[in-house]
Amino acid sequence: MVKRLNKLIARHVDTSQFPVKATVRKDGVVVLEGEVPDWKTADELAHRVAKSKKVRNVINHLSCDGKSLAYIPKKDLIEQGRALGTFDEADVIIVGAGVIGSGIARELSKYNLDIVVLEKGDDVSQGVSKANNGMIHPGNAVIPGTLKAKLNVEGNALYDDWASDLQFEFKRIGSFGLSYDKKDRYTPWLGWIAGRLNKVPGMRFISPDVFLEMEKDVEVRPRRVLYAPTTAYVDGFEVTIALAENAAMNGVRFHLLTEVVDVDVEEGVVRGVVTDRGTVKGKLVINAAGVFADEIAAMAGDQFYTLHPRKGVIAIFDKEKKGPDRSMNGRPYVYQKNTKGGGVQRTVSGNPLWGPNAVEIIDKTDLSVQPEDLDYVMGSGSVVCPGTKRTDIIASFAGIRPADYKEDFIIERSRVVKGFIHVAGIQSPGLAAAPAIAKMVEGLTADELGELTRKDDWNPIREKPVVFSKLSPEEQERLVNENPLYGHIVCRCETISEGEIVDAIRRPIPAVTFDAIKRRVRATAGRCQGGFCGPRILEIIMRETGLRPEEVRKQGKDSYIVAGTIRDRYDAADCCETRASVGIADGVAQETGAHHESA
Amino acid sequence: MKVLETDIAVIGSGPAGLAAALEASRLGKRVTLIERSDDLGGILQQCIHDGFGLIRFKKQLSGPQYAERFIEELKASDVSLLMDTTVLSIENEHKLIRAVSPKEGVLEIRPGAVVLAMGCRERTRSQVEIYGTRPSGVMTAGTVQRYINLEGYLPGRRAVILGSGDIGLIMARRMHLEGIEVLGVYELMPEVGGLARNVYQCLIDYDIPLHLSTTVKEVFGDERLEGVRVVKVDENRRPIDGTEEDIACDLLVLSVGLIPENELSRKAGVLISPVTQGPVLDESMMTSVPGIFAAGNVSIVFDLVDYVSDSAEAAARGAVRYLDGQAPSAEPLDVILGNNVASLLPTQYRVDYTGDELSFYLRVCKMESNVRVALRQGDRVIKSRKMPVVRLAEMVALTLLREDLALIESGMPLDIHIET
Amino acid sequence: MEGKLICISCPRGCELLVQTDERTGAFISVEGNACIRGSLFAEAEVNHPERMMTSVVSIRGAKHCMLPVISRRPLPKGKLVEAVRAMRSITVEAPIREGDVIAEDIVGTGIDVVAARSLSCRCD
Repeated sequence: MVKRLNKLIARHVDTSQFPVKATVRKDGVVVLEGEVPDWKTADELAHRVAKSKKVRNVINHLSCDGKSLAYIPKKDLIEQGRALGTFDEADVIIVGAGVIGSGIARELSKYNLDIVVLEKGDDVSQGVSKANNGMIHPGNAVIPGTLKAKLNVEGNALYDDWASDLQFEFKRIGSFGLSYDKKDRYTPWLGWIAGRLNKVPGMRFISPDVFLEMEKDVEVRPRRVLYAPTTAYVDGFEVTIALAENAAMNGVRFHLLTEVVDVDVEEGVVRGVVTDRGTVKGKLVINAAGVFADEIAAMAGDQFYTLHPRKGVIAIFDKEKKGPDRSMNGRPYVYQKNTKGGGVQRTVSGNPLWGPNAVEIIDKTDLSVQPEDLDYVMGSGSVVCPGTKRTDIIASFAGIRPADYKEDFIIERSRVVKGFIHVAGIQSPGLAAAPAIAKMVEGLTADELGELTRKDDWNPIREKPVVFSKLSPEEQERLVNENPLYGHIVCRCETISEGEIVDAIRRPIPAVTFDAIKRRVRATAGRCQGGFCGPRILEIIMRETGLRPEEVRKQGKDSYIVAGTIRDRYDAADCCETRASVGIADGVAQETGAHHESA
Repeated sequence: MKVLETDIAVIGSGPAGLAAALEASRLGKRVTLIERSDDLGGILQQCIHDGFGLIRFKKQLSGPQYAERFIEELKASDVSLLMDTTVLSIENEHKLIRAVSPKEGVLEIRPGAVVLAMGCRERTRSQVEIYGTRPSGVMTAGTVQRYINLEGYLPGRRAVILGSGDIGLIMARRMHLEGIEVLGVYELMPEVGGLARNVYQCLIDYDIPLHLSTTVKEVFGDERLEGVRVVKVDENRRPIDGTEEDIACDLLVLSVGLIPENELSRKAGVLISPVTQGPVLDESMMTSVPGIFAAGNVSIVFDLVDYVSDSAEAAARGAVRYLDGQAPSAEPLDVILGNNVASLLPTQYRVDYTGDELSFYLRVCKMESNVRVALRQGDRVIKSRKMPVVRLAEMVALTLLREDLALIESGMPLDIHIET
Repeated sequence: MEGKLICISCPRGCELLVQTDERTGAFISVEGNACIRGSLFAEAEVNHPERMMTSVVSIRGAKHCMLPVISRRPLPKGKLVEAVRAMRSITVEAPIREGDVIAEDIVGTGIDVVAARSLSCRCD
């Protein structure tokens, strides 16, 4: 096999100049090492190796300009965490509070298990789950026979239950696979064949006229249209937040701003994890760490895959901009290797969304948007919506897909460590597959821990927060009478009341950063991008949490909004009149206060 | 739900709203002034610098002082105030306003006429091409102004300003005086966006560098802003490769222009002009919806607050005439934007307009010297005015008196242009 | 000697060409001004430049925590930074009326700093 691999390497790199080495481990995992001239080469080579016969997966330790994806232990943080001692103990430790970690936490919260979720961000849904197009794919764009294909179709079907229990915005309105000319005439057919093999329900070809009737903003008439009615749309944040809140309601403890830096394994058995805030003891570690899952696996001594970050940039437009409601895929323009690539669609809140593109990068934290990213997104989008300009974009952001080189999900119990479950490589259609992944991990957990007993008082319902602007005048009136804060509109772009912001701060997963509030109630997400409401929100966060001005953050430890004060400030506390509702949610103050100190 | 009846509802209590409410009240109408915050005066309260009111009061007042003169008069008037009250919608056929406040709950206001006076908003990062990450520390000049002057916060320690509009220049000085290091003002255009005197007293006084034909291309920093990349641009405003420079800073202040606040105008169903980006208005400041008027920066972004107040009084007079059944009803003539006219207010004129005077406000596309601003109808010059210079930053006002207005005939469009 | 100034007396911003004494630097004459204010400004700007001071001070018991203030007359330009610095240690109590003196004889200039707006007590 080594010979075969060496031949392969020679085809990709000039080995006299760049000595690249492949080692084959006993378990069939290939480790690539050495220096490559550019990252594209490393990416292509690793993908090619992963396709070779009998290769279980690929660990890519190739380096380029001194950078690589190899795991480097954070020794100082490990030392710091060990020195701080144990701060929590549980049966199950879930690493990562994205849609996968939160989904698993909620699924397992049905049982008599003590569960903690450790998240290094300052909110749930901070990594992969943060920046995606919110599409619940039908399952006709994944290669038949893969785990992805199976879980995509199963997950899609489970979304109705999730949406009704967790009360997030959910629109099952379908999507299209289109062809316009000879060059792309096979595209709808490929979707049809894959869909049939993957058992996607309800798919059918419809006439271009019916299509144009369904999507009134679309002017270009396609030649052939495949309609997949099961496609749905959600807001990835909202799903994750709803899952986490429901899990928290059912006893799961979420520790935010807590980064796992090591996994304690004794004699092949997991004992817990080390974080930058201290250690957590536990019997089972579920690795749902998104783009960092390969590093968590390495900490446990069971790395058999590398996750290579693939960046995608998404552009969001003003609600008033024209555009189709459903995703349209299949133009040759947007065809990209290893991803379905971005189309043109609308978010559940009604904003046109274009993208994402797909760029292989080496830095897992690189969320920058570059001109070429938007060139691509605008180029592909304007095929459907000509006349939309780059300056119409109200927000653009990047997300990272956590792909392994097999380009499939990795969901399995560790073969070398007891008490460790891999849930890795969950890239698109991971959001669609999430409910099925949670169920699958539920099964694996039972395999690890023995039979699980159900709680009597498990509550699957997470009630939807108040959305003031969507209520009838009568309901609004009633609400303001109950709590005057709903009558104080803070965000004028999206008509969001102070009451809703306070609700977000006081919910089971407290939102105490600007971005966390934005994700929950859309304040600062509108046209002014926080120019008007920012100062108000700062004030509300301070009042509700007891934080000092410079302690209020946008997102991330150092993302302070203001650096301090220019004068002594005398406000609320200094006056005889108390505001309509002043009170500190104790838990919030403790959590954020404690975390800030440790930061 | 509480129902209120009134003659004229004015939305917003900034300089436009205050002036409109007072004028309508002086003319004997019942006026309800609706303000979303707990303070009258709007943005003036955070504009603590001086230079307001030279035309109206022959004095250089600070923003709060300018507002105070109207507020004092308002308190002595019959105008009803609805503070802490946000308008949620305006139903255009019957002009029903739905609003909400913590104290009153949901209100329905039934006015005979409406004056929109919500002001303008700042263009944001997404409306200029800046790439890179999305850290904290990127804010508009108006937000920085609010943080410092109203809230007493220090928004950052090392600032770069993009855009040389007046608020950007004013904030350069203000930040400098509060101990923030202001590293420079960068302007995409070859000409400064704000008034010359602000360059002089805000930048030159404090040795703050101004870089024309230069822009911020990219921002760095995953959490808080860590720096920006600036680049020079050519005459087509395209970045010139090799001229990039990285500057470490924790605050990027955007002063990249203002646009009329349209959220409510759109909800009310009024036509929006692509020229002013505010509602299409006629000579009485009436929108395309009869009985709905616009005043101040909702109608076009003015440079001087004195003009804002003037336009608001004109809108109030228009609303009063409308209520009294004296609104002009002739077919409106279009006023066409001619040579070097970038935006204009109003863009429609009715020959049976009965006001004593009428001001046209315009902005130019480019700076020119020794010009004549002229309003024509066909070959006839209706009114013209010589100007030593016209600049991007300064609005040009052309005021027509009754005898000038009498020259306008029906049936033929008007046009306004800059003649060299 | 010749120098260029921009008049800050009104928004027009006339560009002024100023002649000053080679030896003493004192003002001699000005061109380019559109009105009398321009020549007054030019002379002042050359001989003893001055600026209005505007800033904020802390206020206790009002709905806002900052009170805008303004100097009654322009201050010598060289004293401006010091004067703004002096505002940092001032705290006043609501209610305040516009024109109330906030600081007398600021940094030895003989000029008072006054409130630029009224702010009532929050409880009123």
